Order: sequence, then C-alpha cells, then structure tokens
Amino acid sequence: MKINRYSVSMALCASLVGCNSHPNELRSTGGSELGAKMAAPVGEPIQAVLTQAPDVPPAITRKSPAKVVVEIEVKEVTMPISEGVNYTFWTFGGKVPGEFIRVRQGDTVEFHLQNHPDNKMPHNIDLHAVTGPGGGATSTFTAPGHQTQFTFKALNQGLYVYHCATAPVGMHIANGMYGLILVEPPEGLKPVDREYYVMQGDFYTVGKYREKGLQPFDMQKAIEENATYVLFNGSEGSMVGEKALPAKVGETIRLFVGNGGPNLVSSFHVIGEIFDKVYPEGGSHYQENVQTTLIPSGGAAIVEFRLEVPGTYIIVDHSIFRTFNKGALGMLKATGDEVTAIYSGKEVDDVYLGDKAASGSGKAVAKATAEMKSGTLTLESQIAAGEALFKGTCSTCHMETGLGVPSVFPPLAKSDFLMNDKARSIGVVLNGLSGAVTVNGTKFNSVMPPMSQLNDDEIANILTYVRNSWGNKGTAVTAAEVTAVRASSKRPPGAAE
Amino acid sequence: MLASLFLVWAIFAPVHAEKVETSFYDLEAQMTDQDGKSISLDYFRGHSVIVTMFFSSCPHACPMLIARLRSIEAKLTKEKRLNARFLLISFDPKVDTPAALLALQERHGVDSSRWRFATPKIESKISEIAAVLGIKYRKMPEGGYSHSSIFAVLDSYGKIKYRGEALQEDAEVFVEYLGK
Amino acid sequence: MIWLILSLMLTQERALTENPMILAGPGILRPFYPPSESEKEIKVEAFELQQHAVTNAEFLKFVMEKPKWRRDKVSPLFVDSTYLSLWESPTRLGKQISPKQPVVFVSWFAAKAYCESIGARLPTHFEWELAAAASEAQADSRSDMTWRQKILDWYGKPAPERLPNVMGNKPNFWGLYDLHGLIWEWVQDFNSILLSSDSREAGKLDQAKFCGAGAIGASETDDYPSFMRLGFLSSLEAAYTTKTLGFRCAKDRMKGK
Repeated sequence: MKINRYSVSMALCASLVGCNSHPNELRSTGGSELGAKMAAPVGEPIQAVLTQAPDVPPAITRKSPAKVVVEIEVKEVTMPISEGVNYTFWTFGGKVPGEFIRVRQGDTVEFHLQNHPDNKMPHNIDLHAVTGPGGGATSTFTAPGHQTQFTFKALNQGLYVYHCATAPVGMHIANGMYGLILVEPPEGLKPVDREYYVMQGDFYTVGKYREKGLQPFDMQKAIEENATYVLFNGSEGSMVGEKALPAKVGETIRLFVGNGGPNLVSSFHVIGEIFDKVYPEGGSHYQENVQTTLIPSGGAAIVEFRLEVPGTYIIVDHSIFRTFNKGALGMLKATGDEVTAIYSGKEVDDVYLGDKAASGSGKAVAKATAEMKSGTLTLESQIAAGEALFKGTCSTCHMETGLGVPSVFPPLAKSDFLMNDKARSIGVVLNGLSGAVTVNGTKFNSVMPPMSQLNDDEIANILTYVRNSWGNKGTAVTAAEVTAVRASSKRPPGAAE
Repeated sequence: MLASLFLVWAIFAPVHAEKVETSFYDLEAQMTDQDGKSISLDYFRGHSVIVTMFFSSCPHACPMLIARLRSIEAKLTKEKRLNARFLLISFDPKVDTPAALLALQERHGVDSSRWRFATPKIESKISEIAAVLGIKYRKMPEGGYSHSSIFAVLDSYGKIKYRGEALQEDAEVFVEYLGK
Repeated sequence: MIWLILSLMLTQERALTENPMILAGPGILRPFYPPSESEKEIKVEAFELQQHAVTNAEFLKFVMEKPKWRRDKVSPLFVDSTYLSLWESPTRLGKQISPKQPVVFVSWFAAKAYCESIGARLPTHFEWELAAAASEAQADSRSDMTWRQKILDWYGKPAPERLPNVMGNKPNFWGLYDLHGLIWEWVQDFNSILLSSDSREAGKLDQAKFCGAGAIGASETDDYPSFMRLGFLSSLEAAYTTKTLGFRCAKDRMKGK
C-alpha cells in the first residue's frame, strides 16, 4: 500500500493554514497526564477488531498504549431499508452504521481507508476522535479503486462519531456513511454484563415511507429536513422480533448510542427502563436517573441500566412520530423470572362505573331533568329515570327484581312497609334505617345506609319507580316532598346533608 | 557443441533486468534553457536533482522558491553540492524567453553550471510535467499563474525520491534526500 | 516518411469519422464553485467535442499504433496498476468486452496521449460543463430539478457489472451522447479547477475541498451534480485509472465553421 506522502505533506501544510474544522482541545489536566498521553506505543502493532452493529468489540485489557492498525473498506451497496424497499447505501465496511472501532486513550492509530473499485464516488473519513486537519479527511480523500493511510494519536477519551466528509457531505452522510469510535480511558470502562452498538440516522427517499422498489436519495427533502425514514442501525426492523437485542434479568447493559444524522437530533429513550447512568455526548462525566437523553446529530451517548424485570423493552426516539411512522423502533428482550415487587403486571381489571355512568343515567335521567325544568314531568318519565338510578345503587342490596336477599335485605316488591307510609319511605332513603323491621310479616334486622347524597329529584324519581314496580302501585313522589322531609329530619353523622 | 553455444548465450545474453523503478525521465520533453540551448528533460541524468516549476513574473512565491533552493544548496556538504543539480521549469513559455531566464539567473547569482531554468517547447508538455511532479497550476484570467509549490528530489536515474511542500517543509528534509 | 504522415493522417481521419467532433457552445457558465471573485460568470467559446466517449475499439487501435501505451509496455509514471485491466490481453479486448463500450481504466496521461494522436486535446473543465449543462431539449437545463435529480440518481448507484455501450440513450441538445449516466470523464485541468490567486499553498486548496465542504463560496448551491463532479475529479491523480472513468476528445473550433 502506497503511503501518499503528498497527502501527508498537504495535511501538514493545511494544519498550518488552519483548516481545522474539529478542534479537540487538549485537556489541561496536568503535565504528567499529558506525558502519559504522548507516550510511545509499546509492543507489536495490533490489528483492530472491528464489529458490525449491534455488536461491540471486546473491552481492552492492556495497560499500555499500542499501535493499532484499522482497515476499513468503503463499499457502495444496494440493500433493503425496509420490507420491499431497497436503497443504495454508501457504507464503511458493508453495512450501516459503519464498523465500531475500539481503542485506548494514548493509542497510535494507523488508519487505512480503502475505496472499493466498484464504487463510483470518492470518499474520505473524518473521525471526531482525531486531533488534526479535518479529523483525517484531508489525508484520506480516496478515489475508487485506491486506498489511503494516515496515522493519529487518540489523545482524548470518549465516544466519537466518524463520517465521510466528501462534498456534498450531507449526501454522503445521508447515504449511511457514519459510525462510532470508542476511545477508552486508560483504566478502561467499568465492566458490565453486555454492551451493544446502536446508531440512529435519518434517510430521505424520493418515494414515500414504505413505497416499494429501489428508492433514490432525495436531495431536496434532505435540505428541507423532511425525513422519510428515521432508523436505528440502517434499516427498519433491524432490532425487532427475532433481531431484538437479547439480555437477561439482573444484567447491567451498556449501550453505545450514536446519531449519524444528517439532520435530526435524537430524544433517546428505552420504554420501561430508566438509565442509571448516562454519559451525555459520550463525555467523561455521567448523570444518573435519566429517562430520555438528547443525542445531537454527529454526536453520541453512553447509557447504562440494570434490567430488573423481564419483558420487551422498546428502544425509541421519543419524537414519537418517528417511532411509529418512520421506523425508529428497536427492541431489547430481557428473559428471566418475574419480580412482582417491582412490577406486578395487571392486578385488577374491573368495570369502572365513572360517576353515575353505569347506573344507566343518560337518556332517561336527562329527559326527566329536562321535563322537571319545564314543568312537564310525567309519571312515566319519573319511573324511567328512577329505574336508571335504582340500578347500581339500590339494586345492590334490594336486587333488580326488588326481592331483596332473604333474611338480610327486605324486599321492595309488594312491600307493605314501603307502601304504607310515603313520608317514612322518603325518610328511610334520606337518613337510612337500622334496627328491627317487619316487612310482609318477616323480621329483618340490618343496616341501610343513608342516601342523602342523592338529589331531591333523584330520590323522588327512585321512589316513584319503586312504588310502581314489581306489582306495586302508588302515586309519584315529588321533589318537593323529598325537600320537606330532608328539611324536617336530621342526617346521621357522616352522611351528606 | 550445443552445450558450448548455450554457455556463450548464457554468459552474454542480457540478464532479464528487474523492472527499473519509475523514472521522471520516462516523460520526454524538449526545453529551451537560459542560454537559448535545447535541453531535454533528462539533462541532469546521473546527478541528484531537485526539480520545481515556476514563472519569472511571479511576484511572491517564486522568488521565495529560488531563495529556498539556494538555502538548501548552502546546507549541502561540499561533496554533495558538487553532485547536486537544480532544474526549474517554467509554466509560461511566452514570457520566459531565454533572456528572461538569464536575467533570473543573474539576479539570484546562482551557479550556472548546476542550475538550469528552462521552458518546455511544446505547451502541452507543461501540464504533463506538472502532473508527474504533482504540481497543480492554473493560468489566471488576470495574468500569471496560481500554482502549488512543490520540490521533487530525483536520484541519478530520475526516480522521484521525495516530494514536498517547497515553502512549508524544513529545508533539512530536502538536504537529506538530495544527499542520498 | 510520407507513409508515416499518411498513416498518421488516416488514423486521425478514422477516429474522427467514427467519433466525429460536434460543435458546442458558445455559452455562459456560472460555475458551481467560482475559482475567484472575477470568475463568477465564465464565457466559454464555441468548441468541438467528440460525439461520444472514446470506445474500447478506438483505444485498441491507438494502443496498437503506439505500443508504448500498451499495458505491458507503458511506464508506471503514466498509469497505475489497473490500467486497461478489463482487456483480455495488452492487445486484445476479449469476449467479455464490447468494442463499443467506453474505454475505462485509462489515466489522464493515456487519455491525453490518445487525443494528441488524433490531432485533438482533452476538453477543459468549463468546456465539458457547458456541454453537459444541456438536456435533450435545451442548451442549459441546470435549473431543471427533474433533470438534476436523474443525474444525482446515477451518482447514487454503484458501478454496474458491465458498462453499457456508448450512444445507448438520446443525444443532448448539442448532439452529444452520454455526458451523464455512463462514466466519469477526464478533463485537461482536472486538478486545478479550484485554484485561485490566493490559493498558492496547497493547503488552501484542501480548505476548499474539505472544510465546510460545499457551503462556502458555492454560487448555485443546488447544482449538486456539478459539485459531485468537482469532488470526484479532485480525488484523482494524473496516473489514476478507475472502473467508471473514461474520456472523450475536444478541439478548438475550426475557423470558418
């Protein structure tokens, strides 16, 4: 492979000229750390292990800086973006997102970029982890069928995006040319049970969402930021169903999450989980107990969470129409035993009566109310309204048949006690009744709670119904009568006035 | 009889040479130098050469180029200086006549036995020479040329040993390669 | 000697009848990336451009007549290792190759030498862009979004297994075929298009190429096809050859035409 000295010298020159679009300042953390950062590589050069999403290369265990050789091939390839929809992606390593690179702070990285001869376009790479002109872009501008190389020192730890920076940059990124490079701190990251690689991107096609066939890139939509697809890992359903990320209850999961853009910022959230730790923007400090974290376009974040209960956790961009209408949906499946103390699952599934909704009030009651207002209240209307109100309140004890419960709740049907004294009945409904009563020759000794929370006209309608049902025949009860009894009697303690 | 013939053939037959490294002189071009003489591109074959391109009416970069070359020359050991040659090729045949080139030589006081200023006779050769040296240039509408400033160091076969930014890189690098 | 001249003339004639020179221009070009303030509008004189890209057959004839351009004899100064790699042998196309396909895997040096052998030259970038601004119907189609999107679509696809033959589609306004949708084409000044008087250092050239790629200085920010051609050309060195890069020749306009 030819070391293009001219490119290197141009890069050197360009650095002097000041073409530096991604300045990464050295942290002023003291001389000794700077010395450590500039230390020479130890041992034989290592060939970097690169992985395709969602896998991550193994954690680095060595304690000294090394020379790491990274070789990435750019390939322009047509693949499905959604079921039945194909798209020509430009890729680092054959898939979107590009391969995950893992090095250690202080490593010297010898980077080789290969542009496959079948490609039509020139490409290069800008790694946000690089301190130097264009992040490497000036040194890696590569024509199809050729390769370039440059070397950089990973001065800063963190999780960084890399992407193609060939003009028009937006188009190259929109076609999938982005990935992540992790620069571990010298002491390494705290070990977790599983690590995964997830990268969000927005895609712009001439056809509509899920319109079948080979869809070309739509420059105009990209300029307007009108995304057709918003996807994790380059295709719809890349982490869904059988491709869901597997995990076990009790495990601590670490996600390296990138956002290639080109345009949209991500509101990254995992439904059903809270991030115990978030390293916003892949930096060195973490926040705790985060529900949703913002990942800028061209940025990244590290999130960690411990799986407490089993189930399928949905990974989303919480700009939620992107999830349900543009494909930004992934899954993490945690298997294991239920832990009902934390999450019980459904405990009650019952009818909810609402206010008086289940008593069937509605038409009948409304009609009666209206008639009362206009002074045209009829017996029929009262009975109908009363029936609606009786059900669900009184019928609980006295039953819809009016027969009551033998030895427990007295009947209303053909009840002498009820029909003999109208005023007394009103009083019982208003104030309740306890103690011994004899109804139709049978003794009852129970407690009827007061129903004083009902309105006068409601009580009037109920009693009218009761006095005209199940063989009872009686006059209507008016609201005024109820008002009179209410006024002249006392409510038991605790009852409504 | 056959065996001896074979022996003769084996001794005197040309050994199949290793592929000769690419030489700058694979490009053939005729030029006119500051003395009005016809010289070919490989005029300095057999020597260590530093080649660049310029134009004499250039206001800033080209005088600096020549000054740089002189400082490189000065840094060479006496022995290395004897073998070193300087070839400056012009973009601008119309303006850079032998007289203009000679004036340049005088103005900078360089040793004419080791320095040649030359203009390609065929205009289309200029772009080829520039392409081989990796020099980008363009004739400006307002006159003059915009061009990158590159020094290329050739060995005695014409192989390009080193190519670098003329005005940005340390002179030492060129000194080192010229000496090889 | 006469035989030499005659055969040279015959070669030129043959090439020119098989792939005739067509008059194009004059016109005004508003380059996507003006090299300097004073060059926002470029007047392009009328010139002649070959009807279609130089084919395998045409290039084979050239290589037979000028053996120093055979892939087994050429100096590595002028080509890289994939020069004419699709041909079966240095002197034979082979069955996999159609004589009417555009010749590819040729370097700038090789293309230039071919054009000079037929008494022509490579077109300049501005000449090529002027010719390519035409659609079938009009001389300048660059504001036609549909036409532009079609070109962008071609850039989005990877190289096909087999390149189609030349002249497979309709010619453009000038009568030129395949300026879009077939191959990239060499131009004379492929690597110096962006040079201006204040980019003396190569560094500044990089700044134009890479920093803020495409935003600064671009005049018609939606002429992306032009931009992408600029990008592609600036990734090349003169000796490079690629699978989708070929050329056609140009000439100054003959007086009296």
